Amino acid sequence: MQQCLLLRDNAWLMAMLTWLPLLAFLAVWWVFSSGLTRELPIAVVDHDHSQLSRSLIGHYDASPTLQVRSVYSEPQARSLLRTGDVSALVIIPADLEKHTKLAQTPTVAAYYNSQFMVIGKQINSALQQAHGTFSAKVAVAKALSHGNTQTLQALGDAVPIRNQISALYNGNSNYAQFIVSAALPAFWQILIMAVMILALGAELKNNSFKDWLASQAWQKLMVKLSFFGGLLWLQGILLCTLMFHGFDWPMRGSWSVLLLALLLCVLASQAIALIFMLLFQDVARALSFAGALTAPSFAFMGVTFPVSEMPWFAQFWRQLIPITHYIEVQITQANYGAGIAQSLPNLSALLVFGLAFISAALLVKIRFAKPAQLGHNT
Amino acid sequence: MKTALVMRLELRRIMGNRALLLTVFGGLLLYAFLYPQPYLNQTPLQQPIAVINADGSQLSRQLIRMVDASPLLQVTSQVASIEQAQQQLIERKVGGLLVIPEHFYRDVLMGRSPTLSYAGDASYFLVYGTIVQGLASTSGTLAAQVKVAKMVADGIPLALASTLHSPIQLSANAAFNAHQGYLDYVIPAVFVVILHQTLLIAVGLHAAPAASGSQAKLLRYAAPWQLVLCRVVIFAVMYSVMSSFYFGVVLNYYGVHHWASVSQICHLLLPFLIATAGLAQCIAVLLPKRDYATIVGLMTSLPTVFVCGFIWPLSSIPPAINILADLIPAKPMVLAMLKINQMGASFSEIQAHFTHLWLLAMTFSCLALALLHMQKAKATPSLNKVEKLL
Repeated sequence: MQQCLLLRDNAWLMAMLTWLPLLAFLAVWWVFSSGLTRELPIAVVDHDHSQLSRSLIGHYDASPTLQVRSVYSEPQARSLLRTGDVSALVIIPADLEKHTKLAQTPTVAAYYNSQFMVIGKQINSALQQAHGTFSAKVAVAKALSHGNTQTLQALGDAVPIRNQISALYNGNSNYAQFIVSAALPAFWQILIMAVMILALGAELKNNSFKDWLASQAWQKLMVKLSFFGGLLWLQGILLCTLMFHGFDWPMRGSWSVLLLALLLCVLASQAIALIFMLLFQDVARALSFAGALTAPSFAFMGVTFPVSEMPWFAQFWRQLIPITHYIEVQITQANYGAGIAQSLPNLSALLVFGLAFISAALLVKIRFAKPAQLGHNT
Repeated sequence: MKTALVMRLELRRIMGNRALLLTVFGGLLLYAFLYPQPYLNQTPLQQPIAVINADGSQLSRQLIRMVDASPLLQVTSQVASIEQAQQQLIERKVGGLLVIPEHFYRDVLMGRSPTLSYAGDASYFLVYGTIVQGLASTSGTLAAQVKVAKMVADGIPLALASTLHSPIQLSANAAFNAHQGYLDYVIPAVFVVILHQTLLIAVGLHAAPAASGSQAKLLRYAAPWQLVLCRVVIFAVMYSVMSSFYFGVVLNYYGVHHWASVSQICHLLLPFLIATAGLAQCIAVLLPKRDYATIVGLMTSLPTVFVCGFIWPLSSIPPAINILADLIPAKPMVLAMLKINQMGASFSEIQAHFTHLWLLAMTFSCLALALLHMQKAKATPSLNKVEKLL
């Protein structure tokens, strides 16, 4: 009841538990909502101006990833690349057609911007693909023009091995699903920490918890943690509902494991918030430390960059962040549809945080109960 | 009140604000160390894959050896079925799988172009990309070898055959971040965002209404323009030191390539710091308590990183979000810094971002001034009443 009053009087706390996360979740998703990058501009400088070079440019342009912008001079094209107006620069050499006919294997040079890595990689593979198709067509046309070969045979000569590539667990290579499904939990964890620190901070009087915790510390903490924990858990459930029903990303595993992971994650994050608050007894400083731990958690999750490639310190640090354990559960459940056994190590890691929270609370009880008893005795 | 006095009072308040000092100096030192940690190895190499070899020919064994020799890949297991490979994938023992079909060798010999199937776990894009790239290039190399071998069998000299196997070659090169390192990709941009967010928090902790009321007292005696001016000057000086640390010392330490001259960076920093300090003051006026400054800074950090255009292309972000993001000083600064410092653009090529930053600097400074005037008017009605009565 007291907690409800606290919520009613504190518009910020109320906002952080209701409309603010929803707004933020949707905004982050909206940024990536196109899911796939299409029509990335590339500059093509054509020094040949032949039928063959125009056909090659046509092949690049036909790729859904690329959009060709014809540029007449190389310096201008380089400037466009430097300023990010185009994501790649392709230079078609003079005498492309002549050299191709004479079988002198001309080389087309491409420079793609890998400062923007996602874009750079996509451009590179789109260019390779378009070029491969074109090369094969030229080879087939050549073979056929020499007479007597069958089309199939010519194709076999041009492309001796074909490739079929599949992206497992994210069939369309949807970037939104990949990045947002990790970014939202990372954001949610910052929210949990902030809410808990503010909720606990509301009881800070004269920069101390002493009076509040003096009697029935255990009960007060339990009420506070379970009330806000429950609301935050609901928020996590809303988050997952939004991702797996609202955005319609596949959820192959067990919802109960996922919900358990959410709950344990809330508990673990609460534990950390509680410990910081009891240590510093100051909202601003507790927030600073919680921020230091959770703000870079997206980088430590190992989704954008593989965990196996991280140096030992990063691997150690990520163990301290609850959401990195949660995200492993989410990926094994949602993407792989694995059994609970697969998620057990991460669930138990989260549980360890929860145990830390109980022991922290016990310590608090000891620390705050004693002076109060002394106070009664004297 | 004299401006010099306001300046001294403000300085004393900043020095006495432990949360602020912790955020600026402690926070920035910590992040300079912590944030690059995951990416120190730059690129994922030697990614484990499983191979399903249904052919068992010499050619298929040669392919497996070639895959294993690729710097990007490592064949860690050979399994009999796709199900087994998938199980290993789920257990995260391997990141991808390669299927060599039955009669692979025979089909290649007969020119029937057999299909190599390969798959990667797209839950992890960087790993997926690495595996696909490694397999595609190995498969391409093998195809080229097969072609050359055939041509030689047809009587074409080897030297000629090896240039003939592809009628037109493509030489694709990475420009700028040439070794495609993750650190070089993330750090230069994220550092700008870190400076931006901590500056927002620091100014917020300083300028938001505090419980002690020193802010309210100061507001009563000093003119709003003096406060805005002093704060911008103090924080700009403080942050130009921290920015030099980040862009000079730290980037250098991690070996991130940089092009721009010191004077160019300072030129860009000036409007960026003024704009950010201005924005922070506007936010601070609206906060009920100073603690909320940290929350605002923390909660906006991830969305800010996403809208700056280096993770996701601006052209793919909905226009409404782009317009909103244009109000955040971090966005033009990230773009300008990346272009001038990482991509070697000249200052005239980033003039648009520079103008953008100055526009934001002026807008937010004026807005902060107006908001402070309003706050002053609200805070001193009793005083005015007393004066009127007298």
